[in-house]
Amino acid sequence: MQAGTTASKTLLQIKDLRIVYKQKTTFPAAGQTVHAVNSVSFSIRQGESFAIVGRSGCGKTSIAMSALGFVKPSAGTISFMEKNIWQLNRKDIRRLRPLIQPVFQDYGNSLNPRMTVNKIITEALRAKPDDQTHTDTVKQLLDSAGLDSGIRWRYPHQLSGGQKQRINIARALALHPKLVILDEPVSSQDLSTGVQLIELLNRLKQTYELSYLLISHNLSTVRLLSDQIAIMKNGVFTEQGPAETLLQHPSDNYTRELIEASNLTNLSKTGQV
Amino acid sequence: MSLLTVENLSVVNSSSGRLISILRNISFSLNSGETVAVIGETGSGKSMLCKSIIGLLPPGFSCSGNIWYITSDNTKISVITAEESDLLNIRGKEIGLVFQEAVASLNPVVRCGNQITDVLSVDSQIDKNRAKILARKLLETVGLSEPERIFHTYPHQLSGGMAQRLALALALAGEPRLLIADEPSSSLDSISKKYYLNLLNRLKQENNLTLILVTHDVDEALSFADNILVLYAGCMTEYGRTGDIQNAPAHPYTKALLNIARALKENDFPAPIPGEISSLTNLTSGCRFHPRCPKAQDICRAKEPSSIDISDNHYVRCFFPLDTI
Repeated sequence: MQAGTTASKTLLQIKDLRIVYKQKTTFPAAGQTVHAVNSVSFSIRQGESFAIVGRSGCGKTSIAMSALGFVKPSAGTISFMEKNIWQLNRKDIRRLRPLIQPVFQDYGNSLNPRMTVNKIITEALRAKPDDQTHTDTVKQLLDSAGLDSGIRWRYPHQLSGGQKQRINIARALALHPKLVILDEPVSSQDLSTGVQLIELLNRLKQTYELSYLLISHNLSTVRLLSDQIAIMKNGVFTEQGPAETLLQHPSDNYTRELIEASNLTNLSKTGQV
Repeated sequence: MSLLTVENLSVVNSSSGRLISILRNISFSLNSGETVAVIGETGSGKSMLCKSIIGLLPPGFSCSGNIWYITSDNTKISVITAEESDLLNIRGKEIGLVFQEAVASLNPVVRCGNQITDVLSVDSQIDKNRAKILARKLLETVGLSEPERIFHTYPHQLSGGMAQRLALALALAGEPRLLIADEPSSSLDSISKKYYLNLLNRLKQENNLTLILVTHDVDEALSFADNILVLYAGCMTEYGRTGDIQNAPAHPYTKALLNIARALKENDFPAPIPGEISSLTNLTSGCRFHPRCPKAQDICRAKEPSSIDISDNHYVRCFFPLDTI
């Protein structure tokens, strides 16, 4: 099971977050509003892993995008290291941005197909002007991600799915982040590769004292990576708590439904879940 | 007589100027109404097996061996040697295909309903109005409520689960006898996935569908299939009835996959299979699994294992099959 982490100070604090999208152009929904996230509050402490679990379209990725500074909240605050990231000036945002790094679900499209692995990681390192020893750093990062340094001259199309996601992880680590946002990091991977990646992410969390905000719809993998879990449905958290407690003793029907759905034995012949 | 028989199927890619073995000596047969699940890691050749069966290999790929299919009028045709015109008569009609990426397999600029009527209209006996009625019925069959609304929407307006069901409706439009579903639920969340698999199960029972289910979810294969085919780096490492594979796997790779699935179910941390699947462009000699096999010995590095009968309809390619008793 996931090793427990002695929690220290709060790294990310989200209070009463609301995200509303307005459809601008797409006919026939033009002018309609979508309440993607409604009054969501949670915090992640240093070294802690917090997972948001829910069905596709429930608003999980909107929270991640907002925490990354890509989607402006309609209301509420997002504080990282006690600073409201949406009230910072450009200079402060540039200073803060390396500390929050994403690893996206679509591992293939996250890598520039025209760059070698070396260039992909070096490009991230260029954001850190004090780092003059790129070659050694790239090798170290690849080693941390469980990859042979010889891979750095390859292009993304020459890599397997698992290797591509490891490159994404290595790139995220390049800037020494404190928080890594993992958006479905293993959902596109096969079982064996997925488990290898989870093992790697757990190891990196311990080694670099990383915090994770994990977005997933798969409870069985979330369980292996998380200290805290929030269940999300239609933009709100329906249940939230320590991973073990929530999965062993769910108090909400929707959580039970998700747990039940992840068990595929006794498939119904009537087409009902 | 089996509906589908695959005999010593090998697929080679020669497009880069050198021969790359994609599939090697795959053999299995499928009776009407049966389901076989093809499991294995990414890059093991699962999708290429599907494409071979439906005769849709990309340019530069060639097949050897044989794939026999018995048509509804009891004609035995060889998919590998058949003319394209003969394949057109079975592809999409006798054999339906559901692709992994449902949204990518749908035409983004054609309304969902029209995509189904287009398929139905291939049959000249179905006029436009009848096709529209049948299309709405198919949307209902695959569990899409509000078929009238869905009929007029575009694929981008559907959720992932709805798009996957639409893709299933398209595959069913030709009333196939054999359905090939290539990782149909891998991108779905757990609730949509269970709904989809239940739906597939119901349609299979109602229409006596024969199904080839490609998946990397071992749990899905165990709960759904009558037989399981385990592929590793293009080789069929094990084939057998689901119960036999589940209770007495003979190949170390199958056992490792089952152990991961079992651990996930029992809330343990699974032990990953060390290393990565061998690249098909750089295969080592001997058994393709030997670099990751805990039981590998010198002979595994030197020679390719041949198929051994473990019991009735249970085959394994391993020099040291696990104790299956």
